[in-house]
Amino acid sequence: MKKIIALVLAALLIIGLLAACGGNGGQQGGGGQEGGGQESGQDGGETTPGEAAGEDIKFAVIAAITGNSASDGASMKNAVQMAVDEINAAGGVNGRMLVPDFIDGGSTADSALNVAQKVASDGSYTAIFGPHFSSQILAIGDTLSEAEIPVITGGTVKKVLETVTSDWVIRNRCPDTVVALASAKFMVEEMGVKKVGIFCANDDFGQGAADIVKEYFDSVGVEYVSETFNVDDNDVTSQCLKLKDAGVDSLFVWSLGTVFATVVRNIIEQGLNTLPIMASSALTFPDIQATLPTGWEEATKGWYVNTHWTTDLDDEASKTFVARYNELYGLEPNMLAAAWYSTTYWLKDCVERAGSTDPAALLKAMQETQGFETLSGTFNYADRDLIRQILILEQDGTGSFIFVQKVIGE
Amino acid sequence: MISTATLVQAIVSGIAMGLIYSLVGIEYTLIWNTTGMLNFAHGKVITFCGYLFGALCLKQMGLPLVWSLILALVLAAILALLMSSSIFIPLRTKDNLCCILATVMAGKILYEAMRLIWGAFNVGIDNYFPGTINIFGATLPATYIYVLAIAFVMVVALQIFLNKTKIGKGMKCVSQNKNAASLMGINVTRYMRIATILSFVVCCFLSILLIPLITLSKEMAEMIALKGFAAGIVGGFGLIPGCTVGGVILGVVENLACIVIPSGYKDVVAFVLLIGFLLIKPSGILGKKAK
Amino acid sequence: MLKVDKVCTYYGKVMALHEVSFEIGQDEIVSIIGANGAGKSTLMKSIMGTVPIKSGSIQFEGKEISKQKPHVNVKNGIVYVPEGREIFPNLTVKENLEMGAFCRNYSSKKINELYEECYEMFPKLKERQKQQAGSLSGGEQQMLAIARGLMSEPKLIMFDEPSLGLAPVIVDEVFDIIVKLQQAKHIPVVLVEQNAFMALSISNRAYVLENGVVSLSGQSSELLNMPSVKEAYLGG
Repeated sequence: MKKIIALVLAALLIIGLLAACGGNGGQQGGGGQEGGGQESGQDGGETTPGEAAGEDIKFAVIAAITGNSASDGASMKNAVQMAVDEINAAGGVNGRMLVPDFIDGGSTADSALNVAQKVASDGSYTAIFGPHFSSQILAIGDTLSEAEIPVITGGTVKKVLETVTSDWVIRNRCPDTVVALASAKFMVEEMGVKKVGIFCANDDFGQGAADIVKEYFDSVGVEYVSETFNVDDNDVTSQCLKLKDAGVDSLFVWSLGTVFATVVRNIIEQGLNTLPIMASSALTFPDIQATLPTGWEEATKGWYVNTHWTTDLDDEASKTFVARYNELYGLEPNMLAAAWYSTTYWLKDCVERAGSTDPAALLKAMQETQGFETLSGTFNYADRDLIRQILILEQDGTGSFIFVQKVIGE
Repeated sequence: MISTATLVQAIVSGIAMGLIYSLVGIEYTLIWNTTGMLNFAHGKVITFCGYLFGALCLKQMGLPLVWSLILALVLAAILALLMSSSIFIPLRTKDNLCCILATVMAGKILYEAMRLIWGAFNVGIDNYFPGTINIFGATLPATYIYVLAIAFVMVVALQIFLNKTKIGKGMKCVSQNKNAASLMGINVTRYMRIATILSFVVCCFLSILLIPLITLSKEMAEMIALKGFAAGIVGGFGLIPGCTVGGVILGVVENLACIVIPSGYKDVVAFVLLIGFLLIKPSGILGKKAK
Repeated sequence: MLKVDKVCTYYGKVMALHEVSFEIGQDEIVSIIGANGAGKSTLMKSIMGTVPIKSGSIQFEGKEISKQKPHVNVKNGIVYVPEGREIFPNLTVKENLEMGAFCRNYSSKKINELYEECYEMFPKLKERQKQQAGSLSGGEQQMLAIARGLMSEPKLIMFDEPSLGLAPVIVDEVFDIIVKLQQAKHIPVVLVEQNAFMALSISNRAYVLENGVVSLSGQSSELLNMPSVKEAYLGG
């Protein structure tokens, strides 16, 4: 009997290990056909991975598969996979197939550290997508840049490009210096606020934005009260009550991930939802909306959000993207998915313009990016930022977001 | 300026969350008392039950509330039998490190199972304790009152079960003296299974109480599980009434503390209490000093 | 009633019992004496099933019980009052007694009858019924352990070192009780004791265990007068 139990236990452990690993590296996208396409001749780069005619283009994707931001990680993975499948089905990049290697970087700086070394020293990647989050790229950006291949990140906090100074690290989302500032300006100029409740997560993302808006509010003499919450908090009611007691006339809410739904729910419960509110993009995410209390559309009517992209945008490309993503994954995509979908197509464009996957040539092509149209705007490379524009939208009470303003940063 | 509303909210939600911490303390104490092992996977067990109840029964199968509850409890009991037969019973005579590793690994397996079965996206469940309630000028979600009432009933029911029913008394004996218990005709391994089932039933109820308070996510019960450990130690480790006392005190103190300290530090309160008690009175509030 | 035949028990690699055999009939007291570490408790635990045996057979009422777990043996009517009493310290005296009857499904009428019987035999326990068992004196705890053992109306009762740690006056009381209950219930009693004199005085037959082997056996009255026994176990 004991032997049987020991065997069952061992089997369970092995299954567990396999499942854990299965969430990490294993996934390969697209067909690995050896295309007959000719590689345009290039000198140099004997050590470049996959340079031989028709070989696959392998790139790492560090996504938050586990942890508090697992839904964002899933969006990133789904989007990249979808783009890869489309590109490969249409013949790949100059006949070469894209092969993404999904790696679980978790949701925190610590979990990212666990995978940094492995990814940086792999040697078979053409580029690295991710990590998406500011706190993570801050932690491992330097390690990743040792690989001397392009690293694309969504970390929008000001500190990111200041701390991670390597030219290899490029940002595919509008930096917070533009977004937070534009939002703060909008609050003062358009919403006419006098005493703002700054309600941000106390990670790099939340505090980075908080610092920027506080600086701005100080410069124009607007009062504010600041409350914070942890990304794994279950309840922020006491913070809401403190803000209520302080008599704020508006809220600036800034967070991603699971906790955003908690914050919105508590704001509604405490009756603060009728104040003028500027929120970060998470409110537009269909996966977050699914976890908001019933009737959230009505309760958050009139809230403003800042984001690159929502499902309500009615250009053809967006509509097709939404329909296909929904068909594949049974859920509508969010801004994060849109960003990474576009970034995958942009990678294809850069490889085509560079004529090869030689790192130096690829980086040059990336740095020369001008006028590349994406779902969330135009990529124009400048000082390691690909895009410096943001949209401000208003929730119309039915869950749809109406365009209000487009802000382009200097 | 602290309004009455703030105070009332702090105390009411403090008692509600406090009773939840108490129940967490009780569920791991049940296993500890009968098997001498700490279930480090209990947070994941609670979350897994939440997914069984909310995602599987309520959403995917569309069952009404009561049927979902019953089915979830049955599945939780099956999980309990699996875990007790594969971990708690075979490993109870081995050294502690073995037990700790085994339960941590079990937790990881549960986590991956949740991720593989239900995917990465969090699941939205409609609040089945809707409405608001007004107490002394504070508008509170009715959820707190439901949670408070149900948790209180559960704590009382467990006390009655453990002290007045034959099985409960048998469990008490097993936790006091396993040798003597087996000489009374008590099948000790069977009672370990029963204790595990009871523990997981409590976990299932916990998840049902937590879902309206927190979004159903894979990390849902992590911090609460940790605070449940703290509650048990503060109130008296290994004592069921101790868990109740420790939990409520923890819940109320951490809420009241947030009136004066920044709310971002709320979680710190639990651990300060934990460390404080370990240093000053490790046997907890209700515990007797070790001779 | 109980027949132990050539039982070998190991603790790890050490052989604690080597081909030990003894038997006990319906209405007698049999004692097992020997020095510390001779294997007396091991023998009891082997019979109960707390410790597994390597070879040999143990038969109770004609049925083989050597592979059964302790709780099954209890249900079948073998009660073991262990070395060190092993009462439930945080339960009251009455609750301890209640647990003694756990393996039976008595009606409350029947169990009250049993309580009354027990209080008659042990008046001190009646006084202290609501007291926490952990706070009783050594002698009282021994009484409690015996009374608890009787609550399930056993067919055979085994005492393991009942005199351990008790004052001589109390020891007298305890052995008095053992004799009384054997006469009242007519059940076989196995008595394991270091106090050889007392054990031999109240038992019908005895076995001497030395280093896991039965070295002597016979009528207790004979053994009492044997020079070798006197020298080794009765203080010369």
